[in-house]
Amino acid sequence: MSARCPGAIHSAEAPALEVQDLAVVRNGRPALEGVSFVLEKGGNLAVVGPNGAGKTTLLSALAGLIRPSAGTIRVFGQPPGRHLCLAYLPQRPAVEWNFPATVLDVVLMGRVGQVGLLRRLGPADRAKAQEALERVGLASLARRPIRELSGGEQQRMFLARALAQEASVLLLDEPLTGLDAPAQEGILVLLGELTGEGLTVVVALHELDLVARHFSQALLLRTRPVALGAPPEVFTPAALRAAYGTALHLLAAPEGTLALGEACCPKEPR
Amino acid sequence: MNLVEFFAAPLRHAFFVRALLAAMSAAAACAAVGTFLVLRGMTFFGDALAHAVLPGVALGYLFHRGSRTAVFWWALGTAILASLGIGWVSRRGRLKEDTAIGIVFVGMFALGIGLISTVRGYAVDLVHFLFGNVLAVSPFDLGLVAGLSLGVILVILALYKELALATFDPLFARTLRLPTEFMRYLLLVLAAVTVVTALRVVGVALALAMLVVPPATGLLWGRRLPAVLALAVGFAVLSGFLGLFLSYYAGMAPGAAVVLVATGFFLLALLRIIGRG
Repeated sequence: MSARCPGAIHSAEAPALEVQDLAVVRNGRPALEGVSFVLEKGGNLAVVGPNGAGKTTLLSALAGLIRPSAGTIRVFGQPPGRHLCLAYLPQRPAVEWNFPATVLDVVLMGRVGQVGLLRRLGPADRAKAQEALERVGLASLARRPIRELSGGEQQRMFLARALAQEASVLLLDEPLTGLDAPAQEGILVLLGELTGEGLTVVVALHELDLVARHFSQALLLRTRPVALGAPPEVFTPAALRAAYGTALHLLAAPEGTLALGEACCPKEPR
Repeated sequence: MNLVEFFAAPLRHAFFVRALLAAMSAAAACAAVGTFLVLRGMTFFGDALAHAVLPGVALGYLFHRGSRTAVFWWALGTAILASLGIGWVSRRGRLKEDTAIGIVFVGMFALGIGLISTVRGYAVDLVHFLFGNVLAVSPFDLGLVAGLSLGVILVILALYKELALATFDPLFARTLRLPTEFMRYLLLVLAAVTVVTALRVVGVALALAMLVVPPATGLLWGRRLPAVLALAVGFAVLSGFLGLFLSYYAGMAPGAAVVLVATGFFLLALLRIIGRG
């Protein structure tokens, strides 16, 4: 997928994402401190933590939308600002759902960066968009107005747009919020398939159980990294208490420890 | 009188043909820019802009008594200044855009009224700027209105896919490294240009109608942005055309007639939606 990535040359031997001592200051306060991790091509990482822990800040910094106050980010060995092959899906994208567009129109917008100024989208772009829609299972809805989509279909449409963009790194901020269980499962299975095809995926999530089932790496965050590693190693009672504090209630149940949190999500500072 | 004669009779007057062409081209440009303003929820901006032009009109009038073309340039300069000012205030200050618009709007409008009130005998000429005077468009003015309108439409066509993307999903546009700030200011400047062309046709008081009504009609009728744009421009041009004939036969102020026809199309589109449930 990363064969052609306008705006940046990939170093073949560099990892997909390499973050070192990343710190971000927002409104005079540290929003993120001392975050380091390496994610190889085809890797997946779930970023978890309480509201305000810096999950959105981390993803925005990776997307090159906000400038780190310290530390470095490398995407295939390059700074993030120049990468068209980085796709970022914000939490509840601030799009106008009454916009007169079909699903295919929105997916085609993924091609705008590749096509460049003063050129029109052509048949090749249409084919790419159609292919992306098929990949996420939305081909039958291509001509549907976007206002008629369900929450799960909306997320799939944005994933298709990222694929049409030929992104090799996907950054998703709480893509499961507001979806029912089957739709959540569907998105996670799709993400699993995409990483299998070589895409690198970073997802901010609240659902710890889903992280444990679907992700090979988790980063537990509370402004500073609390724990990083495979989910079973990360989700220890001590680490969860350190991250969530009093917002978390741990319960010893027959099947193991149950973590009950104020997981979701009235006011995440952006 | 048969239908051919109905349309042919007014066309024998050169002033009417000029008015027709000016109204239609200004309407087309207003509809094209207005569609993006409506989609971005910036219609209040168009209204503010039309009113903020008043001090420019007043100054132009004070400095170049009688020259409508000079007033036109003053209005254009003021409109561009006001639109950039609004963009700047809302970006720099910690104010929301509608508040910034409100401040620039009333400040400029007050300045305009203040300037005008210092002059005696202004009333008749300035009424033209409040309500338009398309029937008095000179060949040179027509060239100006048509040229600016054409320029606006060409810019929109050239940047169509970027404008659509930045309007639908500004954050995504930023991740694609599109110059979203530049495009926001560009849209503000395009709006300023179209508002000034609309001033000649419908005046300050009704300029907003040209930016909002045909795009709203297009949005009710079309399902995809290209269709919405085409419908908005189509209805706008048709409103300019029919409005001037209405004005001719009913002895009505041309600006008001154009806006009334445009509003009629909007009601038609609304009834069509209601009729389909």
